Order: sequence, then C-alpha cells, then structure tokens
Amino acid sequence: MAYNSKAIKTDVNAKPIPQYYNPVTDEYEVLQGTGGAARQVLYGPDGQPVSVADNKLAVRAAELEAKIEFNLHAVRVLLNALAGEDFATQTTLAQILGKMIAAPATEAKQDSLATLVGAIEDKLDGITDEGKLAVRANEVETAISNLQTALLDSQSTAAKQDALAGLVGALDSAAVSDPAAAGAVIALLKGLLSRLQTLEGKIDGITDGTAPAKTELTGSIATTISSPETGIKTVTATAAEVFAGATKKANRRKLSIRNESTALRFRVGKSDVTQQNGFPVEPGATIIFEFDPKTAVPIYAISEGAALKVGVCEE
Amino acid sequence: MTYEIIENIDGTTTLHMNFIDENVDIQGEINIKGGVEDATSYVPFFENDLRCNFADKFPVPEMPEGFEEGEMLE
Repeated sequence: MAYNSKAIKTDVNAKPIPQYYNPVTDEYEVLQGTGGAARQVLYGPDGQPVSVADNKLAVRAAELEAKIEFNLHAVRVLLNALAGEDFATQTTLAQILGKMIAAPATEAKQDSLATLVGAIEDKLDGITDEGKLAVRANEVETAISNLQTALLDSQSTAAKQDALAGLVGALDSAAVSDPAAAGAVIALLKGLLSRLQTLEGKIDGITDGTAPAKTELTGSIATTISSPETGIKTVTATAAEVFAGATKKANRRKLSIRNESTALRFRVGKSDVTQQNGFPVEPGATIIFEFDPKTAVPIYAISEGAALKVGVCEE
Repeated sequence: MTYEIIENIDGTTTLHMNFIDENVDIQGEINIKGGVEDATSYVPFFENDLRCNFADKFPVPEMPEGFEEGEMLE
C-alpha cells in the first residue's frame, strides 16, 4: 500500500493533525514529541539512522570511550608510579602538623627575636675596645699592674742590701758580745776535745801494744778455740765417716787422722771414696783437713785391706 | 746396744746407735757408703769404737769370785 492510499489523521474538528506515515504499519501515525518539540531521527552520511547505545549517540560514544580508555590507561600508569613511592603516612603528616601547630613561627615572634638580637649586638658593641672584650682587657691590665707593683716592691735595692748588711753586723756583734752563747759553744768544744783525746789514747794503746784491740778474724783457723775431740776409729773395707767421738764434731775447723797400722794403708775422700780413687794414707802417716766451721764437710775413709785403727782428732 | 739404719738418697746409709738399754747415755751416728747390708756389716766396728772411746761411761766388768788382783785368768 502507499501513503496516498490511506486517510490522514484528524482532530475533533476534522482538521488534519501533525502526523507521519509509517510504512511498516502502512498507517499515518500521530507525531510524538517532548518539551514542545517533535521527535526526530538523525541519519548518517550512509543514509541510515544514527544508532543509539545506552541512550547515547553511537558515534560520539565510541570516540568518547576511546578517549576515556586512553586517559584511564594514562591514569593507571601514573597511579602505578605513585604506588612505588614512599609517601609520608597519615600518622607522620599528623605529627608534623602537630609540631607546626604547637609552636609555629609567627611574624610577631620573629620581630621579637630580631629585637633581642639587636639588643645583644648593641651590648657587644658597648663592651668591646679595639677588637677585644673590654671587661677581660681591664681584668688582665689590673693583674699585670699588680704584678708590676709586687715585683717593684720586692726587688733588690741598694737600700735593702744595706739593711741586710746592718743585720749581719748586728748578729756578728751579738755573737761576740753574748757571753752565755759563747760559753755554751766553748763547753761543747771542750767536751768534743776530751772525747778526741780519749780516742787518741786508745789508738796509741793499740798501736804500741799496751792495750791491744779484741779482734775476731772471720774464717781463720789460726788457733784452737774449743776442746778437741779425740778417739780411735776402725777403718774397714766399707767406706765410713771419720770422726773422733760418737758423732761428727759440730763446727769443726780441723780434722787430723793418723794411720795406727804398721802395715796397712787406707784412703780418704768423699762419700763415694773407693780403695782406688781415695787419697792414700801410709802406715804411721797423718793427714790433716782444715774446714770452714760454717760448712760441714764429711770425710770418708776406707781400708785397702783388713780393718785397721786410726787415731782421730777434731778441733 | 740398739741401732737403726736409714738409707739416704745420696748412696749412703746412716747408722744410729745408742746404749740406753745398758743405761749408758751415748748416742752415736755415722754415715756409711752403701746400703743397709754395708751399714749392718759396720755395726760391730762402730759399736766397738764407741765402747772404746767412751769406756769411762760404761760400767767396769766385775771381777770373778776368788780371783786375786795380779792373777792371770786362764
């Protein structure tokens, strides 16, 4: 059917109304509208209606989506970059903020500080003198002045030396003129002289033999100072100590051994003496040993044959 | 007479001898080369020497009965 085969729509007054022909339904239909305007269908350059997706024009929506996708990608890249950074945490920021808030520098405070610095600078200018602190310089000058005064007051002068000479002269005069002091000195000297004379007399007695000095010679065995021990001892083929009494005499200085045998000899020596290495004492002979009394030295004897008698004397 | 023998580390032996059992106050001491056997062999000689040297401290033996002075013992 065609549009000219259908009757158009009319209102109550039989007047034609705004309408269009719908070829699909093959009818004239009322023209719809919104907001005082009739509904329109947009057609693209290809002669087809422009499509709509989600109530948006398909062409613009695709472009926008492409741009949005691009922008989103860029944003993701930035976000990823930001995620790798070590940002201050909320807690740290809060702490910094707290400090800044607790005592923030203000213009008024800075002005106060500037005023104080200016005052200090003025005071420093007031107490310096030729680049030095005036106060310290004054103290040092005072100290130097005191030293100068002290040195000048105590230095040797001709007047002081004269005064010392006068004092020495006075002392000299006093010593000569003080009979009590001189008497004490004379008495002391007399005592000393008396002692010297006594000592001189003793020395004369020693030198001329009238008063010999008692002298002990250490290590000397010049004389016998104790009773000797005497006895007989049997010397056998077994080496044994030789002494006169029941035991070796303490602190002995001399040991005499006489071979009483007329035919046999014996030998003497230390504890390892033998019939071969000992010193031989012929029949009738006497051997004498001298000792340091402070050192005990045992003497052993051994017969070269049968037992024999020896006479022994220890001093 | 009693005696005691003590071996020393230097190859000698010390012989201690006394006569207390005979009521005689003599204590002798002598060092002998060798060991106990050597010291033991020397005991009678040392004893004889002490008895001889200190004869005055030992009691004089009593004369047998019927023996006259100047008479020889058989």
